[in-house]
Amino acid sequence: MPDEASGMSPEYLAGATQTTPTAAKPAIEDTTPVEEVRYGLAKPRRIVTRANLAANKD
Amino acid sequence: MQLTKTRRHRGPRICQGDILRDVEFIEYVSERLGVLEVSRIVFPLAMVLTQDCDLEQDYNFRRTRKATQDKWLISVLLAPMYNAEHVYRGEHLSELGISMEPVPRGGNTGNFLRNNERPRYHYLEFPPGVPVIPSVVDFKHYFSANVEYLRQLKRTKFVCRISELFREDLALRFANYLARIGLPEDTP
Repeated sequence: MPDEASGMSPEYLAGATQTTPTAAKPAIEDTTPVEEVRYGLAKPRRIVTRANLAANKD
Repeated sequence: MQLTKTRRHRGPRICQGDILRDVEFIEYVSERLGVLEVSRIVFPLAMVLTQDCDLEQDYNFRRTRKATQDKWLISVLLAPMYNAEHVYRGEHLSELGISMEPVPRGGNTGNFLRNNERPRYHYLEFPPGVPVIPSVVDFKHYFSANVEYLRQLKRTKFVCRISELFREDLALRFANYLARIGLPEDTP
């Protein structure tokens, strides 16, 4: 039931507080730079494939 | 020069403006003395140019029971995207044994390129966060690929899709490039 004078809940008036859990900090800070992926650096290339048709015949 | 906005949503079908990686183009297939030879060019980046309405109709017709295959596409048009740094030096096709005219980076020539005032090329530069380097689409090098091949490729090789206005700008410039008329120099 809210407090008549303030309109606030008894829990609030009692000083109940909520705490937001914080993530534990890593023991060792990882400073390894993450390689940024970037596309389009390479040039077009040609691939030539050969197959001996006679070898595949029954 | 505007930075080209993109969308990262992949979607199930091929869309105009899709940028795909490692797109293969069958250069030729030959057979001689029982040996089959297939030559493929692999473009590190290519952009889909086919009109989106055609791509949408192809997708819908293939996936629903229709009386005909009237809206099926035979192939999809794409154009390669080259590393702008390589284009400046004319070296972007050196791996194919093809030498290209340099487009000097500086001065009016470079500015014309980056401002998309050269009909043959479309320059693209992307905002931070888009994993594509400044690139040049060469309209003269358009090629085609099978629809289903591209749809399979898109599952793993989709980079992004350029946003609507930028896509329309590029599509219009491509259409204008194809429709250009080269007048002879000596006209009576």
